[in-house]
Amino acid sequence: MTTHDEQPVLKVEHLYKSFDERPVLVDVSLALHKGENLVILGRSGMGKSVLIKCIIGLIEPDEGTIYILGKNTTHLDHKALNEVRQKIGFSFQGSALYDSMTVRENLTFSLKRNLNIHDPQQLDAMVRDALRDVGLEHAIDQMPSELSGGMRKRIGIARCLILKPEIMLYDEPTAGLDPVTSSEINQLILEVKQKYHTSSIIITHDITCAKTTADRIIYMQDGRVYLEGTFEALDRKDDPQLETFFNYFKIQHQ
Amino acid sequence: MRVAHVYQFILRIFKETFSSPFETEETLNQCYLQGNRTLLLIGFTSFLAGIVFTRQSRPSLIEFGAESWLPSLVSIAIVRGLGPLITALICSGKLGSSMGAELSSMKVTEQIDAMEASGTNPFKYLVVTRVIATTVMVPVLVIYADAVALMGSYVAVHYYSQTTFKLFFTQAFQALSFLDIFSSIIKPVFFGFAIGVVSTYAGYNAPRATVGVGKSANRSVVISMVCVFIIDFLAVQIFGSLRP
Amino acid sequence: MKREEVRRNTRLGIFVITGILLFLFAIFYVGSEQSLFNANFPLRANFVDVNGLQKGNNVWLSGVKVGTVREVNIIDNSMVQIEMRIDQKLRQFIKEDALASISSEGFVGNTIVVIEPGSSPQAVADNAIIRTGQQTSTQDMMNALQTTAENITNITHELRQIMQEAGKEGTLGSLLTDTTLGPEIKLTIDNIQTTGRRSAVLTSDVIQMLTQLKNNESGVVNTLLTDTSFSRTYEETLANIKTAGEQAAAASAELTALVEKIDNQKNAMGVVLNDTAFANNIQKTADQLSEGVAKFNENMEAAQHNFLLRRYFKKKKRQEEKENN
Repeated sequence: MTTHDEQPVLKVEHLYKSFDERPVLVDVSLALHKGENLVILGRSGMGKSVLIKCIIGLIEPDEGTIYILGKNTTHLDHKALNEVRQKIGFSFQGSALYDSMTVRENLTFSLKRNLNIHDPQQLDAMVRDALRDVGLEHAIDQMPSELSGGMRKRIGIARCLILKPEIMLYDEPTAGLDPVTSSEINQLILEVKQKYHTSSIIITHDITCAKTTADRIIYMQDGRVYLEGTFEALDRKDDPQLETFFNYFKIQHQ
Repeated sequence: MRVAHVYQFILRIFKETFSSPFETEETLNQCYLQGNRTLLLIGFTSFLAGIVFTRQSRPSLIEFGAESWLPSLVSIAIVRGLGPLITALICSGKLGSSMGAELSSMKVTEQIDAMEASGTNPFKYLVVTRVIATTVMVPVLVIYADAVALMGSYVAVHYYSQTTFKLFFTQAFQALSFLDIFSSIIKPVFFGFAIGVVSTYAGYNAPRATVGVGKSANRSVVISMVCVFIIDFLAVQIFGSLRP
Repeated sequence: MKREEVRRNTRLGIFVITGILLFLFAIFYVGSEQSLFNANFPLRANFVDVNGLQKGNNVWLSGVKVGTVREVNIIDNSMVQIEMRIDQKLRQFIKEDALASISSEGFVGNTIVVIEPGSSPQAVADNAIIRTGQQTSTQDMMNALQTTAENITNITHELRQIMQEAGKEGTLGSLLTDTTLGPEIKLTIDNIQTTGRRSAVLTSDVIQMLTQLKNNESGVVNTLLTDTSFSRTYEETLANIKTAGEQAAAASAELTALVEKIDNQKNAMGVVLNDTAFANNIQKTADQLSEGVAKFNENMEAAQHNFLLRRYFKKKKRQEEKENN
């Protein structure tokens, strides 16, 4: 298990956010430690996505502070915020590949702009490395529209990895995928952690995914952190809400 | 569209246009795409418009016994009004809808968020490049539209009265002043800018739903066209007051 | 991929550069039309009335465009100074005693400055102020025609009155005693005769011209606007009309004076009635005059229906109505 004595790489304190008077996040606090896979579990519409979008700065929280790698990011200007963002990889639910570009261009897009690398050979090598890590080297010159959902997801992850992030945020990595592909993605998440030494937050409602990838789980409900602990610890808890989730998992694995 | 929001949007475009890093490659790419998308259509429509306008003006001029004024009349009409207007309307339709739809679908599928999250500036890459491209390309396209419309008009004039090209050309240009030529290039700069700003605004600020795509494409076209007419109206006032 | 990009950017470059070249070409062409880029020299002329001349109007020498008007300034109460830019190469053809006048390009064209070259051996200097003359304008022609027509109508009317009175009254003997009056009347009648004939010729000229103008399928307006020889004929016709008009006006004035005299001294009538040849003469003149007037009316009618002059007549009519009210 992870060592907890270090400074957490990411810390969220008392985060509030509401849309049109409807509270989505209510006093959320959490910490992500180095080298840890933190799964945030919960039903749809419980503010999980809003939470990680607040972390990356796509949504501005109403209240609360977020520390990323020791820096308070809630009041950073655009430029400083972008510097922080370059250390975070964000895998979107719908992969969000740039439609108009080939896979190669998708991957080099941020490389060229953030790291200012323009040497074609160096770019090519980096793209191939990243694609090899997700097992899709052959798709290098394909357009995103030619790829399947699982492949797009992998490319989306590769696009983050190529920037060598310290923190990975996965938004519903297995949503809309068949079980086989899902478990492949779960394995990929673990491999990424191994190879790139990233700390990750994984947002999911998929209990299998949580079980496979999690070092620690936070169960969110109604915009609050409801329960926290390892998979086993939560499994032992006697909570009707949690029960439903875990039963579903058990049915699958009988 | 809220005025303050639009104002900030435009302000941001200016700010980011002149601050590094510059998206030169993508700007050129957008210029190429926009020119490529519209050139043929603009050429075709302005050629026809040249013919139609000439044919329709001819009877009235004949009634006044001034058929020889046809080239001058047509060249003034084309350079001052028709060429820029046709170009701007085609661009609003073709470029406006594609920009609105493209940006809003990128918004819906979180591609804009993905750019933002990866630490690059999507505004610069998506909005600024497109606005620069329309602002640059619409005037260039207008020059072509004018040239092609004059060709069309020559074809029509020649069909009736066997005027030589040289005479047509001399008469057409005799009627034009510097102001006409300059107005035909300055006006489209504003047309292009308006089309770019309206369409990218509609796309970039689209609601996050699939209906948003259609809506913002539609909005881009309609509002761009209205803007084009408003600018044209203002330009007539301004250039009219400059004329002796 | 890279090569594709280069190819596209090249195409884009060619596209934009061609556009810019077209634009520059248009600028250059319009500029050269306004003689901005050619070597040119300034020339000035003072006019009392420039008839709506504007900056940018053309300057013609012997019917060829040689430059443009650059400035039109009112320099004092009754003087307008214009500055022209003339093609440097053509300086040798414009002499010191060149004559500038305001005219128009054909019937309905722009106002222009026409320079007549002059005959002095010395070419003009920069900024020289050249002599000016007044050229006949359409307006002048119409005024002259109008006056002539009115006068002729008056004459015929009064002549008819004389004839009638001569037939009725018998105080002819007294006229015989007045010998000085006879030749005077004769001279006047001769004058009238000449004028009558002239206006008949003139009228047919104008009718012919207007008919040609109306049947413009043959491109007469075109010719009128572009053909310099025709426009010269046209100028001459205008001048003719003017002379004729002036003469007729003079003659009719004389006649009016005479008729007044006759009214005062009714005895003068005897001369008229005694001399049958002379009476015939008057009769003939009157006939000619009325024929002339009829043709003239016809001519005016035609003119009124011609679009070119329609506005003039409308304006005239409005003015009259205004005066009547």
